[in-house]
This record gives sequence, C-alpha cells and structure tokens, in this order.
Amino acid sequence: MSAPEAKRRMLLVDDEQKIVDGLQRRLRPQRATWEVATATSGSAALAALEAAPFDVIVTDMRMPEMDGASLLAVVRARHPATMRLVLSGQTDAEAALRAVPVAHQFLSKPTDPVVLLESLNRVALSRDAVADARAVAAVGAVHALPTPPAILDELTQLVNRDGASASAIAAVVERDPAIFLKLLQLVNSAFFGHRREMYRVVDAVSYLGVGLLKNLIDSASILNPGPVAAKRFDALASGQRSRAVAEAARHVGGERGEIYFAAGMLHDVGKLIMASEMPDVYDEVAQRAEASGRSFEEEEERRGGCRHAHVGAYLLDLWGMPQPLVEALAIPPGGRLPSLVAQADEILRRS
Amino acid sequence: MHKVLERQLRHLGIPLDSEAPISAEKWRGLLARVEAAYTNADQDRYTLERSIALSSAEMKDLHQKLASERDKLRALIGCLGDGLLVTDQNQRVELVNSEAERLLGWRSDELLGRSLTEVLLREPDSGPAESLRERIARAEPCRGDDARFATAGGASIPVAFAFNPIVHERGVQGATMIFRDISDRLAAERARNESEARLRSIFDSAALGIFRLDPRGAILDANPAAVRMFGLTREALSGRTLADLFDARRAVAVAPRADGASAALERQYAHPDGTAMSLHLTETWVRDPSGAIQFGTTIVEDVTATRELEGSLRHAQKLESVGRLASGIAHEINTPIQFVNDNVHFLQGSFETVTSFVDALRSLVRERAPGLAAEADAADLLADWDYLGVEIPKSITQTLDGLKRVETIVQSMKAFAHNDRGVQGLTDLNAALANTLTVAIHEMKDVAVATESFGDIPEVLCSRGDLSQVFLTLVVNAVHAIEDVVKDTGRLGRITVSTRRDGDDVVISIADTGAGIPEAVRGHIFEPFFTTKEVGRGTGQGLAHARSVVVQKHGGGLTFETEPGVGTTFYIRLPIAGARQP
Repeated sequence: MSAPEAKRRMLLVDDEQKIVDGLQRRLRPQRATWEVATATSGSAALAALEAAPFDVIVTDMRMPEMDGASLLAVVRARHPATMRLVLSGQTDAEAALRAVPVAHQFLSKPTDPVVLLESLNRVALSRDAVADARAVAAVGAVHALPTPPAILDELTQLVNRDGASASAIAAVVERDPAIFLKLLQLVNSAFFGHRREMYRVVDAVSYLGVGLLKNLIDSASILNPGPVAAKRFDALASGQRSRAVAEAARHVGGERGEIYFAAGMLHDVGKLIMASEMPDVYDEVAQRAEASGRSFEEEEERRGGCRHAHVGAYLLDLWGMPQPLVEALAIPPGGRLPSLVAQADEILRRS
Repeated sequence: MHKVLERQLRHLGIPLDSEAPISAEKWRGLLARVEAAYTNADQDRYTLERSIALSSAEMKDLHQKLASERDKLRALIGCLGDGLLVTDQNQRVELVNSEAERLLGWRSDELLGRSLTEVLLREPDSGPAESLRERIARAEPCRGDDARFATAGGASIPVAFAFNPIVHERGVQGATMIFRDISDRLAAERARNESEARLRSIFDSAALGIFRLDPRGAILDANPAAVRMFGLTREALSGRTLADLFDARRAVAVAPRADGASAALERQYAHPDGTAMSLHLTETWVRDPSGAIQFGTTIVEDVTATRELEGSLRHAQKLESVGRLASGIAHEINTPIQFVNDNVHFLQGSFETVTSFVDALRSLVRERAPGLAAEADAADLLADWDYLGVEIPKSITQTLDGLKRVETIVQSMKAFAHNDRGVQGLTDLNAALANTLTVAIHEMKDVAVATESFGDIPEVLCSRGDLSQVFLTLVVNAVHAIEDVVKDTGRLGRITVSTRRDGDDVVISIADTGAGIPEAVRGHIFEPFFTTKEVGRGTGQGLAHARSVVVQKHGGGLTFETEPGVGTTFYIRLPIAGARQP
C-alpha cells in the first residue's frame, strides 16, 4: 500500500495503442502525483501487475485473447486491493453483465481522463481513511453484498412474473440494502448510459429494464445470497433498520429527500461487509458492545483498527456512487456517525 | 196389366226380349216380385230383381266375375303400403288391411265392428281436431296431416290420413280411411327445424358478419353483426353487392370465382361514422351438381384492431432495429473520439508549454544577447511565430468545439436509441425533446430552424424510448411539411417545440410553418398505412404508432390544429402520474 505522499500508480489497458497513448499523454500534466503505465493486452497487464502493485487498473472490454472481464477476474483474485475500472466503447447489456461482478466502475468512451483522475483521487482518500489493509482488500474483492434468501426469492418470483411493475419491484428492493446498492451502482454508471444521477430504485428498474434485473438475479455470480458469516449479524433485521433510517432521513432531507433516503438505506453497508468478509472482527465488536452496553461505533473506536463507517464509505466511493450520496454519509469531524444517521436515529427514538 | 208391366220394365231398362218366350206363370211370378220391388222404389232392387231375370248361366258368369274382382281388390288392399280401414254404413269397421294391423298393433278381429271416431281417432296435439272428428262422424271427406291414432297398448302414432265416404245413389254405404305413420317424417322435420334454429342463432349472434348472397353476388340477407359492422340497415344492404360497399378507389370486385372454392380477401371499409376499418372476407359459393352457383356466403371479420396492432408492432420493431444500429455506430465513433480528444487536449496543453518556452527564450535573447535580436526576429518571421502563436490555440479550441459537438450528437443518438423496452419511468421530457432535435438535426438542415420553448415541467412517468420515437415522428413530419413549402425558395421554415404544465398534465406542442393539412385528409392522418407522402418517404405508420403510444400506452391525448398556408401544431398531452392503471 502506497503512502499518501507517494505517487499513485495507474495501469491503462487497451488493445488499441492510440487509446492508451492518448490517455497517457493527456495525464502527463499529473505526473507529479500519478504514474501512468500502459499495456496493450491482458497478459502484458498481468505481467506489469506482478512486477509492481498498482492502485488502479483501467481496461477496455473487447480485446483479443483475454478480454477486459477475464483480465479483471484475475486481478480481483491476485490483487484485490487494486481498483478495477472498465473503460469501454461498447455498452451492450451482455458484455456489461459480464463486467459487473469483476469491475468496480464502468466508464464508457469517451471519458475525460482528468475528471476520472479527480474521482480516483477521492476514492484513494476514502481508501486511505480505512487504514486497514485487510479491510481494503476485503472491500476490493467483494462484488456483492449478501441478500437475505427470503427477499431474493420474493424478487425472483416477482421478476419472473409477466408484467411486473417497476414500483412493485422497487417495493421489494427497498427492503434490502445489498440489491439496492447494486442497482444504484449500475444505473449511475456511464456504462448503462444514464447521464443524470439516479437515487430512486423505481427509476433504476425502469431505466435498466426488468429484463436486465432478471439477468442479474439469474446470474448467481452477481447477486450473492450467501449466508453472512458473522454469528451476531441478522441481515433481515439490519435491512429493516436501514429502511427505517431511510424513511426518517427522507424527512430530514427536504428537497434532497431521495438522496437522503438512499443514504439511509446504505448507511450500514460497512457493517454488512464486515459481517460477511471479516466476521471475526464484527462478532468481536458486537459482543463487546453487548457486554458493555456501548454502541457498536464506540466499541470499534476503543478496539482500534477499521471502522465500519469508513469501510462503507470506501465501498460507495469505489463503486462510483454519486458524490451527493457519498457526502450525505460523511462523518462530521469528531463524530462517530454521519449526521444524517444521527438525526434519523433521533426521529426514530422519538416516534 | 201386361201393358203396365211392359211399361214399367221398359222404364226400368229391362229388355223384355232377352229370354223369350216367358211363360204366363213365369210372368206372373216375375210381375209379383217386380211389383213388390217397385213399391219399394229402390232402383238397386230393380237391378237386383233384374239379375234374377237373368239366366242362370249369366248369373253364374256374373258371380265368377264378381269373385274375381273381389279377390283382386283383396290382394290390392293387402299389399297397400298404407293402412286401410273400411267401414259399413253404420260406421263400423268391416275391413282391415295388414298394414293397418301392423301400424296399429291390433289384430283385424279386434278392430272389426269398432267405430272409427271412438276407437281410432285420438285428439291431435293441436289443430282442428274436433272438426275432423265431427266430419268423420258426419261421413264428410276429410284429410288430416297431424292426427294421432290409438294403437294397441294405449299408445298412439302420428298419422296422415284421408277419409272418404263411399256414396251410392242410395246414400252413404260406408267409408275408407287410408293412413300412414309419419313418425319418421316428423322426426326429420324436427331435426331440420332444430338445425335451422341453430344456424339461425349462430347467424344472429355471431360476432362475425355473415352475408347470404344470390348467385350474382347480391346480398339476400345480413346478420346483425354485419349490420353493425357496416353501419347500414339490413334493408340498405339488401340487394347490393359487397363490391359496392367498399371504397370505390380500392374496390376489387367480390364476385364468384371460377373454381367455386372459397376465397379470402381483405378490404378497407369506410364506416358511415367516419372510421376506417380493415375487414377480412371469406366467401364461399355453393354449386349444384351441374356446376351452377346456387348461393354464396361471405363471412366478414373486423380485423382493424389486429392490423393496427400488427402495423404498430412492425413499426416498433423497425424502429428498434434502426435504434440498435444507431447505437452500434455511436459506440464505434466513441473510440476514436476518445483518443482524438485526448490528443487534442494534449496538444493544447503542450502548445501552452511551448509558447511559454519560446517567450522565455525570446526575453533571454533580448536581455542577455541583444546582438542576436535581429537574427532571432528573422527566425520568428520565418516561422511565422506571431501568427502561429495566435492561430494554433484557436485551431485547437475550434477542434475541441467540433469534438464536443460530435460527442453531443453521438450521446443524443445513444440516449435516443436506448431501449427501455417500453417500461415507464420518470422522464425529463425537456431533455428527451432536446435529444430528439439533435438527432433530427440533419433532417432539418436547409429546411427549418428549431426553437425550443421549454417550460418548467416536472418529470413525467412514461416510457422515454417510446415517446422519443413519437417526438421524432412529429419533428420529421414537421420538416417534411415545411420542405414542401420552402423547396427551392432558399427560405427556412420554423419548428417550435414547447412544453408546459397544465394541471395534472404536461402538454408538448410541436408546431411547423408548413402548408397545413388539407381538409380532405384531416380525418385520416392517424389511420394506419395512411400516407400522402411518396413511396420511400413515409410508411403511413408513424402517426398511427404515435397515437397508439400516446393514447393507448400513456393514457394521453394526441391532437392537432392546422391552418392551410400557416402550418400545423401537434399537441401531446401526457398525465404526469402516468396512465391510470385499469
């Protein structure tokens, strides 16, 4: 892991030399903070990764021999901490679906590399805030959060029914932070062609289409209903609480109600990652909190090491969620919780 | 006395010289008997007595003849296919043939001596039964077609009968009753009636229009569905041929076909209420064995909705494939845009660096080596540096502008071609309209300029993909309308696209400065396949599809105002909350 003052490293992969040349030239002015390397094939890219770690890999999708999805699958396994981005000219749904489980972000050509670099700087800052190599690798490797099987079953039945309405589907998705996040991630990626930020599941379903959602659900590697390893985590209860916070946050949000609702739904994804990917840490903190009567957040702080709010924020940034949503979950200086969540908690307590 | 007898005999027609000589004693006997007969005043008796006057040889001959006649009659009666009962003058049965025995189930000795009215005739189910019974009792000839005769065992059979009294000079001598069992005929009639009723009810209640035609194709009868479908009364239809009913311009004679088989046709029909209909006709001609046409039947199905749907579907599929193609091309263009963009940006930044480097060099020369200033200026001139220093950044800026434009067009095309599969979502219609205008930029070139007058409208729950197609259809129609007016004049028309909120609806208007829609076609423009454009310019599907999208799919309205010479404005009205769920 590179220290903040060290140069960040990016690997550009495209079988068309002109593309990587152009990008590299364009990023030349950033050479004080970023080192940009290029490769014109998957195997060359893997060789470069073996030679030295990279913070980011940006790859084309359609390439001879090893395509972008296959390349990123290998990178996920071998270098989980490396951010994996797709930059593709083609955006047909099938290719996109193959990239979904292995890429963190989906960009479409043409993209402004300077803007991209700015957003990568933000992601790198979130990553550095986690300050826990194991957690960073865990977030990097994860491609889906666990969904309670009951909700996944319900959703499967719904999308397989003829004429399922977007609002009926949204009503189910809005009970599960995991699928909620996945849909917002897809609909807000350039890959799927939308230029406006979207926060409502009903819009996401309308936009992506029920067919694509059905493909997502059918493809076992994308939405993972696997059981949560942590013993002290109840996925259904966590989902219900997220929903309650989301409802309360909507009131707090006023004009930004939909953004706040989404932020409320996602405020605990860090816990979800820890519970499924670092169950020992999660159980330990949860047990201490039970024993001491203190909050989970306070026990995390006392224990030292990673904190779920940072883990969650890193995931949202890494997955390219819109900035207003990420900012809504920012933790104020000296606080333990995003102010939005604190306010929502207050409302829930009163009611 | 003799003379009297002679006169009497002559009066009775008895030849006196038939067997001469007659002895006095014979005469006397004869006379006495004639006398007695005469006083009875019964002509038959005269005859009878006359026969006595015949010789015994003649008598014998006569008897034989009679016996032979009787035998023949018996044989005839016996093999009659109908039942026969003969009564005597007292109305009692005195003769029964075997068919009557078979039909009635009685033995002949059981029937003999019975009365026809009491024993055999039972009340018919309906009809003038009593009068028949009375007429038989009065021995008047009569016929019955629906009577019932009692049979052995208390049952009865339906019969048709003929009752005829046997009348002599001396009065009624008896009667004959000839009858036959009509159960089979009644059953057949009942079956025929039922079948007819069934056909009639099909004819009357069928959803399909049914015409019965005479051999020349003229309408004999039309069922209620046909009456409804054609919007004409049964009377107005009758006598006309189907060919008469269809739009004269598109009429194809609906006439008997040479092979006599059934034929299927599809025709456009202009309903009196103004709707255009697509009707599918199946005609069948029935021929007699000689091949001559006896009658025809034409079954008419209203396939308007089906055709509209099919047309709309085909149109949608075509749009979809064009969209896919466009989106593929957009992606192909995106790759070169990526590196051209990167390189031009690189050149822009690099040239700035080069410029400051050259400037630094120049001031260095001026300050540190004034002796070289003249050479340096000459080198600048040679390189045309002053010009390049201004024009290179300008050319780069313009190139980037151009790239931006290409990018916008491609983005619009991609967004336009995005297939939402008709699923409805909240849509920024102003953005969708702006996209549509970008996509239509080429169509408009040298024909019209577009003006956007977008109001502050909320997002509308609708299918963006479907509505984008509708917008494009209307914009392209507007361009075509203007093109017809400004062609070769060098003038430009104007297309004004505006949006506004109206209560719970959003209203989009697309106005052109074209020639307006001629009155004659105003009622038809939303009809499928209706087009006034030349081949290759319009399929006649655009507006029909647009109406189906706006009205059926979105519960909105699609209307227009037009003024000849001024232009046409189409209005799309969409409920903000989307179509109400049925």
